[in-house]
Amino acid sequence: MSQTPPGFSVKARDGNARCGTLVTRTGSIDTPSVLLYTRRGGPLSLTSPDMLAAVTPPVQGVQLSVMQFMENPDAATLRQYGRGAQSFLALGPYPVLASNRDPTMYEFGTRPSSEKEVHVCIHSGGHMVGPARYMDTVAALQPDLFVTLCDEITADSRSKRIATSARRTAAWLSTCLELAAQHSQPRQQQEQQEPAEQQKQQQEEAGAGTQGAAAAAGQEGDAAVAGPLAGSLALAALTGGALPAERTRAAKAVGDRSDVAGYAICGLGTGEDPAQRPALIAASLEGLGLAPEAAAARVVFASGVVGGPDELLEAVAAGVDLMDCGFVAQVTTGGYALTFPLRPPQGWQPGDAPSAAGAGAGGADVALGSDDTKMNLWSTAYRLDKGPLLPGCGCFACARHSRAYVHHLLNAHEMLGEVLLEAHNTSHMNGFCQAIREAIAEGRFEQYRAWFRSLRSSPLVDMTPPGLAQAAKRRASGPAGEDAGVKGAEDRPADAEAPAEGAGSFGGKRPAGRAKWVRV
Amino acid sequence: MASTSSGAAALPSSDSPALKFKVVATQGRARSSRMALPHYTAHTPMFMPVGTQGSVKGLTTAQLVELDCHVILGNTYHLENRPGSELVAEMGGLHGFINWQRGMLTDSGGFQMVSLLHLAEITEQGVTFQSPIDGSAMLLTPEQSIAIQNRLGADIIMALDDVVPTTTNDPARFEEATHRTTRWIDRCISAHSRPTEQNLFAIVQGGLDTRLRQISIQQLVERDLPGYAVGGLAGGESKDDFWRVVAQCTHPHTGLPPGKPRYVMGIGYPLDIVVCSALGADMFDSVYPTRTARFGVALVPEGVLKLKNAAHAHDFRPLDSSCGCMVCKNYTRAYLHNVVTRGISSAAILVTYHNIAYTQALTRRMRAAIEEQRFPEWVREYLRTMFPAGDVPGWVRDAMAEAGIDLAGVATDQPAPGAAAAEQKVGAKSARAEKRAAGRARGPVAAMEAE
Repeated sequence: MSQTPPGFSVKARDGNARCGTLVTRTGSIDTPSVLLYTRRGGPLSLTSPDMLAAVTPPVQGVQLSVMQFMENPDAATLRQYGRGAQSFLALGPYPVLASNRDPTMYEFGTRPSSEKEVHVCIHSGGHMVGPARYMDTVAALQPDLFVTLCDEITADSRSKRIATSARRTAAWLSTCLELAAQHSQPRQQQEQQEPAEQQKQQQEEAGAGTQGAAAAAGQEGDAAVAGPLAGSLALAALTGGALPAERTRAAKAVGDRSDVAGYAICGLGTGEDPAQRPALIAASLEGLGLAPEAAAARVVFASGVVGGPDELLEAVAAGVDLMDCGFVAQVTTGGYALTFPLRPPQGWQPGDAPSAAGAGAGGADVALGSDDTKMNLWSTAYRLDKGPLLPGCGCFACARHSRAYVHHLLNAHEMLGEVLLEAHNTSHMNGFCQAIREAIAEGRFEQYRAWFRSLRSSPLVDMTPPGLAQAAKRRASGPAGEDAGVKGAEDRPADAEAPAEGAGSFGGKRPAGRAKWVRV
Repeated sequence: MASTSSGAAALPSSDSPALKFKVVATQGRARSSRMALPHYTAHTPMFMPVGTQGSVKGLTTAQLVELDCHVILGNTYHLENRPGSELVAEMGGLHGFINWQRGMLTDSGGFQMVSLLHLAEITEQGVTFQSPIDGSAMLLTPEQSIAIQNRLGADIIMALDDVVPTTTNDPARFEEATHRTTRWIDRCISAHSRPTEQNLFAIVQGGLDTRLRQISIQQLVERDLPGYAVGGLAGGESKDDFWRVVAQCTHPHTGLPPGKPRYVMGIGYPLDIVVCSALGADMFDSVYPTRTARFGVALVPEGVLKLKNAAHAHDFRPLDSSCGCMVCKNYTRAYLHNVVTRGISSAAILVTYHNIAYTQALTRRMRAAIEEQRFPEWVREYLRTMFPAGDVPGWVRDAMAEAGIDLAGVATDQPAPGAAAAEQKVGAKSARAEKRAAGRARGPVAAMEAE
């Protein structure tokens, strides 16, 4: 850490996808990777640090939402604590990224934002958050990376609102970076710090800004320590809604800045078509107008882009290095275990028939609530299943417990069910990112991506008339197995069509812009 | 008396087909023992966390090993409802199903019939209850209870007993229940199909009546079982009544046999564990440490720490500075204060982890103190920490006098009138609040309570 200054470097690239190392002040992150999702700073079910340490491949970093620290605890409490979020939340040795939102919810827009502040709804109610309050909280969290304040808008925003968002976000970027610079200034020892902090807060409230207080803090006492944000990396927020032209324009307004370590592509996962997302990411990155060497030194974080493994893959293909990941939290809450394969079979070539092991669950069966990426442990099919969640997986849960046990725990509403699923799903997503990194490093990312795409079944939900879509949904339930009899008469139409579809699970081409599989 | 130690040759022990019990040290009435079960050799006095439905509230079995748990509980009623004992048997018994390699104990299921379901009726045949599925009348007989427990495969199984809440005011009912418990133990013994793999414990009943308790002890001891439990307690009786029953059952001469394990059911308040251990009991279980954790209450040497209290918002100390558990090493009260009851499972699991660490450390220290012949000093130090003002409750003073432990210099202040009032300090208040919170204010909550 002390040898290499914090920053990002690209090790290998394949197309727009890149594989790199992000050195932060507490440790380095191999990219591309997903960051562990936390709510109010805590993983949902995994206790840290012991259960986080059990995740294999290891957790690369932790994401937390700055907004969730506006109250209970607030910045003043954290400042009083003094050692930052990583210690307060016992997040182990993992670098912490403080972003402006929680990817599993949308905190904004309940009330309009203004030129000065954005409105967020969090656990303690609504708060108006401006750059000063935001950066004050960031400084109290002492993260290794932080996203600057963004005027978040949803994907359906019109161009006028998008322009407003872009203007505000760009203005707030400058303010945030100025404040970050102040928070990076050396300060005197903690014991003496508190009065100055209070003084500073009062000044802020009086609208006097923080300049004076920071200066005062610098003068008092000679035993100066590094400021809370010294060495913390800033990521400039890029907005622009779901219009590529607006994204480009918003990014242009930010441009190449030497005082940021990278960029955060905001506003994704807010209702836009996932198929449209790569173009939006590309538009944002293009608008920055970075020279190649500048681009190679800037990390790209995107929030809300991981709605599933192939959305992650597409984001990586578009040049994203770091992602937050509400997906694991969502599938875990639903009682799912991720089962998609992580590596292509030996010698796989584009055009090969997809391997039969497409879904690790032994064939996706929609009737069991599973698809070719995940299995539903609520299904009674697993009542007596002694096997691990995913055969061959070495995660904490798979090494110790059976599907039958997890099924029982879900059924009995025992917390341990989600603990085991979160352990598995977190490990599985980390394994996926590791496989992607390998593929990029070995220059076979495009092949990997083609293989992964080939696993996708024909659309389970077609955008064709409802009756046909229903039939398609049933059709995709895999080879008619022993439960065919159970399904009985209601499946008549599906049965009739099944032969025409062949094995049903694989083979069809996915029309662009269509839903890829059923989300249950 | 307090410091007398029996010679090694005199230390009691017993050898049952599936259980070898050996007292390794005594001091006064307290004893430290090794109980070799088919799956694990447990050290007593021990606290057994309750894993009602095959999991101890969010803790992994790896964490339970880390926490030094020797035996955990499963509840027969819940496991029979979900997932069913036949399924568990097929999955390799409870041990295999939940992947726990150490000791397990299952209850008889009888208590849940009384505590959870209205319209439960106890007849000579068994417990008639309303099915939670279709409302029809169902019967749990001693034979069925044992058959289910045989399928679950725990190291220790409990006899179906006729439980009467100690608060009942009907001497005839206690008389009937005492004798019926004996009749049922015979049915349990003859129904028990795995006596070389599982240990059937009998449960002493008799309410608060010393005569009935003595009859029950005598009748059950005649059956020569691998171990005995004291039942019908922790159901709302006064602390004075409670300790006297325990003292009677653990009496060196007229109580349960000294060479066999003695299990006081439903005991989980740390102070109760200490008092019962001082009186010579070996095993305890309760949902209290784990349940109270989920309501944001941490167990500490001083009593309890209610994490939701606003005073903790800026308290950056660990839950218990004398505790070396994973939670106390890493977390502050201030963090847990904000999230503990806010739907973030990991936070509730953290407090659960600490509370189990606390009970296990407590029993571990007691064992060490007994083995090193400094148990009275340890008890005095424990009470001094919990009652720094010297206001040790009267029932604790009385129980310790019975146990031969001198509290001079510790219990200085005169106990408040109504000795039981002082128990509030160690959690009765929060226990009441919990009952309200759980919407279960009716009836006794006690022995073999399930989570």
